[in-house]
Order: sequence, then C-alpha cells, then structure tokens
Amino acid sequence: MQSSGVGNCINMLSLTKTCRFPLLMLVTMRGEWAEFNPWQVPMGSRTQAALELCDVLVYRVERPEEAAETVTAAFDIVYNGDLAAAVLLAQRLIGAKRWAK
Amino acid sequence: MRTLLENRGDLLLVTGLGSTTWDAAAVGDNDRNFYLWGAMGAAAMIGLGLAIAQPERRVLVVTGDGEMLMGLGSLATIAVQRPPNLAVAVFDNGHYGETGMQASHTAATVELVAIARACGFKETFDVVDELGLRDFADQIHHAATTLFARVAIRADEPPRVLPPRDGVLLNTRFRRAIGVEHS
Repeated sequence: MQSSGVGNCINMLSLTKTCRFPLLMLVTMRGEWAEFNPWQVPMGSRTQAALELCDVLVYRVERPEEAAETVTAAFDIVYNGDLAAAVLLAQRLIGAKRWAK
Repeated sequence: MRTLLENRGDLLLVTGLGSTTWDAAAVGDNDRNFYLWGAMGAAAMIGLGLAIAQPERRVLVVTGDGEMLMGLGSLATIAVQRPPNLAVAVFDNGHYGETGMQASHTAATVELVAIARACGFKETFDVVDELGLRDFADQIHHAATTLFARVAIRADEPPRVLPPRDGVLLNTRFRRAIGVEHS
C-alpha cells in the first residue's frame, strides 16, 4: 500500500496485536521527498511514527540494493515471531511522481 | 444463527464485532468460530482471506449491518475474487446495536443486496422469512460461487452470551482445528 493507506489501517492493527497474527506490510512512501502534492505530507511524514505507535516494527529502504535483503529480513522476523512489520520504500527510492509531461 | 449453523460439519465461521459474535456464542462455542471483538469492518475481508487460503473448506461470515457498512468496499473486493467456498450473511436490524441502537443507513435508503449485486455477486439472497433462511443455509454448503445474503432481523436485545475474548486463544485453537498450527 501507499503511506496514506497506513492511516486507514490503524484500528485493523488491533487484529495483529490482539490475535498475534503475523503481518508484513510493504509501503511505498509519499509526502517525504520532492513531493508535489501537499495532501500527502501529513500522513507521509507520520507513517513511521503511527506504525510504531501500534507496535509494528519498521524498516526503511533507501537504496535499490537494500530492498531484497530488507524485505527478506522483515519476512523472517514476522513469520518466526508472529509479529507485525512494515518495510517503508522511500519516496527517493521510487522516484518523484511525474504529474505532467 | 442457529439455522445457519445446523449440521455445520467443518464449516468455518467468522463473526463481526457485536451481536453476531454473541449470537454465535449463544448457539454454542466451537473451535472453528473466529469471533471478532473489534476491528469493525473487517469480518468480510477475514472471510475472504480464509476462503482463499483454505479453498477446500466452506467459510461463512455472519456480521451486522453496521459492521458491513463500515467495510462496504470489501464487497467490491470479494465480488472481484468470488471464491466459491465463501458466503457472507449480514444480519440487518437497521441499527448500531453496540453503541446505543442508533439507526444505521440500512434503515434509510441503503440496500445491501443491491450493492452486492452491483459489485458482481452472482448469487444473492434477501432473506425475510424462515423458508428463505433455510434455502440460504442449504446453499452455504453447496454453492458454486460466493454468496451474499441480507437477513432481516428484529432490532431486539436478547441477553448476551459472550465467547472467549483472548485473541491468541481464538487464533491458535482455530488453526489447530483446521490442522495448520504445528507448534
């Protein structure tokens, strides 16, 4: 999902916490790097804090060569420990969205 | 609820936050019941996940109109996936029973069956009597596509029967019951 969607998940994270379900979230970030749309900034700048407030482990990927290793590590910790984790794929990694040609 | 769970066999049941959870407990606790005590709006999507993960088993979601209204978008997702082993039943009393019996949108203009059909459900039931309920209950075990039923119920408040509320217990015993918990 996108970082804005994390805001819509807050109460659903009660499921992973209360029932101890494993959960791995892959989140593409908006609102943090060369963002054109200011509406993305409030949630994008609080995505990590909101997840951590809900006891979700958070890992960030800034460079392409880190992605596979980080996602694998997150997958392992989630399914070995019935935990919730999110890998945030930085907006700088994805590249700025092109709004007009 | 009792009619839907008659001769349930190994039917997997997911109930939504509120009265449908108490109703399922009133019929009788079962390891194959996954009761939601929270996560309002999640019942149908949990059923979808279960149905996809366990294609050889039948999955029934029973939730209330308020809980379904909170996760209406899930009907669109379910209709696109349409696993043949899933049935979603909404007990519709037109009220938010858990928060003080405020009127829900189904008491006004919202028609859940029409929404389900518009999303792409091929088999829908608007259950208003015992005969219709028995027809739907039978189809849960034999359907070839995802079912959606709106079941009209009275807006009363019978004494509550509460199931276990330890989420880890509910999760673990459910997984053991279907043979996927090995630890």
